[in-house]
Amino acid sequence: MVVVSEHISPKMTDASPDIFADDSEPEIPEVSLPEENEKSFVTENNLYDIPIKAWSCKYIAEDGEAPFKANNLSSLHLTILTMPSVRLQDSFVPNEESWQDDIRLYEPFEVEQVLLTDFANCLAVQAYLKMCNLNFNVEMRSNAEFMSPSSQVPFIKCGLFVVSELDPIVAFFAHKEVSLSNDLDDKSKGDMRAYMSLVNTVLTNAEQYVLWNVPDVLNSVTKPRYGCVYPWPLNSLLCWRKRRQCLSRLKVYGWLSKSLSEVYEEVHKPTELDALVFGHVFTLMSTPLPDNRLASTVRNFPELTNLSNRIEREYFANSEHMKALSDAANAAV
Amino acid sequence: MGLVHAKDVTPNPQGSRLNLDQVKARVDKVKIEGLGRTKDDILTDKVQELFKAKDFQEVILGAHKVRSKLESLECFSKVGVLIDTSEGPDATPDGYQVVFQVKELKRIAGSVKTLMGNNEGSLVVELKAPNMFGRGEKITAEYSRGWNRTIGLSTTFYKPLRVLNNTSLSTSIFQQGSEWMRSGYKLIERGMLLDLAFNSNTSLRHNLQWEGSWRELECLTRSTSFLVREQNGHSLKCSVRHIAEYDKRDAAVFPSSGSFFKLIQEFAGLGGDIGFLKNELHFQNNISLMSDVVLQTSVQCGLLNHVNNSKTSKICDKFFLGGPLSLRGFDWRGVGPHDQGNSLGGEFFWAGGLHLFSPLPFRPGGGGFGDLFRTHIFINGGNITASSSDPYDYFRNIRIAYGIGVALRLGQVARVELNYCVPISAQKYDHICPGVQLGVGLSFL
Repeated sequence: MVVVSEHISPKMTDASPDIFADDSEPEIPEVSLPEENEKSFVTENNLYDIPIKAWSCKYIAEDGEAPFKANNLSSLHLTILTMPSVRLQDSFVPNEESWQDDIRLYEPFEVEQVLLTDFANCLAVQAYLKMCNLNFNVEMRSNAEFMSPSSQVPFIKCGLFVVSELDPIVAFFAHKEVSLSNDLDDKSKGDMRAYMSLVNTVLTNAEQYVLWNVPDVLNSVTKPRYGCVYPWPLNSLLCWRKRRQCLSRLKVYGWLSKSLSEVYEEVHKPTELDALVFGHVFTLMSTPLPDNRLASTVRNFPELTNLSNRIEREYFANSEHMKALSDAANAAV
Repeated sequence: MGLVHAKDVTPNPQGSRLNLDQVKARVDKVKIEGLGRTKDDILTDKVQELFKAKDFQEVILGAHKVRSKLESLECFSKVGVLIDTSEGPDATPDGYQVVFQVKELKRIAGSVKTLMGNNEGSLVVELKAPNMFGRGEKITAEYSRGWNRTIGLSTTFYKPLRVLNNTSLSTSIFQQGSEWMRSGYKLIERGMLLDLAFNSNTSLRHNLQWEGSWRELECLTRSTSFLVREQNGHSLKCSVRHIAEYDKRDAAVFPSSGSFFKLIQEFAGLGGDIGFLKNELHFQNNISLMSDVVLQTSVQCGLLNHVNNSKTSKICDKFFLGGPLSLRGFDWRGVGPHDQGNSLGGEFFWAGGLHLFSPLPFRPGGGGFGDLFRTHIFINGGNITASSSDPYDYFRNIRIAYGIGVALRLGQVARVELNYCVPISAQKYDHICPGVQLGVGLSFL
């Protein structure tokens, strides 16, 4: 059975604007049941929604048979007229089950086409969906960028909803009561968002800079990959257009005036976060405790230990005390 | 003895008049006055036939013909004719000279006008450089904006060719934006068109075209059907097209006799990522039944085939049916498969209509304003489907609507129709439009 219905509670539609916040006016996607009496039906072979309104064509509805050999039509019509209300109720499967089976993730072709930034975003959304234990199908389309309502990949299609980019997708599933950060309090959620936006601005901008403003990368990687799905001369034309868009975005963020080494500096530049993480990780690793499970958890993340080692080498190079501590810690392992 | 049969001599009715075809004449000289940048060679061709005149009537008729030929060059704002006896040493006894007094168009002309298109009025701003190089070439630059938010920009270079009459070559660069609410998409086309127009006989006109266009499809709203959304993005169409048009009607709007036939064949896939073969046929026949009652039969059909597996077609290449200009009684693009309220179009369509036109009852305003109106009763039907190997499929689920209405002629090309329509057969996904329907346009079913 194919379920065509999508039950949307009023709360959902009220709250949805922030999902669709990136466009000028929030529009609630057209859902097939705007009114109580216009219901969708479950049919075996027909995917069309049949709102009752469409039946105001009295020449079909009143006669009870189609004027021409419209087999589908008349049988469907009769089914609807004769369908007892109980049967109707039965055929509405509760939506909690149905929406999870129909999640599709749309992204550009991973091998030939996708660019660094886009692939990072696609991977992030895939990881998020997997962490949420949501089943999804990945659909690769050469025009994914243009199919997306915000012109950014990836986007998901869930029922009738089309939602693009990680943040709106997270918000969308939060409305469906699927979330990874439910047990965080508001403050931690705020912190998490801040870190996410830090990653987005710094790494995304750096990636865009390298892709579109470093001639070597532009000519050998970006142009061939971005243009590979278009025939000549669209490939160079669209590349040029995309480059212009990306550069103007970088300009807004003030990155365009940076030199390449300044960009690397920007990524490499430590922040308060690095200091805090370093403090905790270093302490955990270097403090012998009878129960050192916490330390071994940290050691399972080489990124964290590497970060800690790097900061130590760079900023505590002259400190004998720190060196001794870390030597002791390494010896303990 | 004999009988004398005698008759009254009846006076010759034309006796008092001069019989022009009895007057011998020879054209000695043709002079064109007022030329500036126009080159002589295109003009000498046009006046040749004047020298063949044998009598004065032929001279006059010939002069008129040449005058209209000169006007059709679109180089002159005014063409006057003066016929005089020829003088001078070379003059023959029956010799005449014909003088055309012309005034050349200015180098640059501009205009602002309103145009009625297919259910859309638009404002057109045009800048024109007529007769640029002295042989009837012209460059036009045009900007148009319609009330359905279509925006067009184009530059055209047009050159008449001397090899054959009515042959011309034009190339244009264009950008055309249009929004299709019913199908939920927005289309921007940018491209280039080469066009060779010629007549293969007096009433059969051909256009051979090459078009390369970059099309950008976008969704109009967030609620646009996903089946339309899937086709978003850029595509490149390179196609050759042949248009043949045969028009023997006595008028373009409200004809009383004659038939009209138009065939459009397009092959796309010579480069680019779009490939299809598209054939479209329009036919109309008019028969005058009684003094003022005209029976009009019209048929339209079209078929889109895929010719290459690696190339596709997009929603904007498909056929659509329905609306006051095509299948009355249905919404714009209202016939055929829909998804989430968006019309998806089809690969085959046919539609036929039968109209009975007559003047307004009791003929108010006859001979003047009232002649712009006609009443008509009609029945039309049609179908649109995906292409299918079984021709029977094309004639299943036929949509039919009938109705009555008033039509108004706008100028010589456009008409407005106000109809009351009754659809009698429709499919569940069709968007019908029973009741009053208003249509404005150039070509109607």
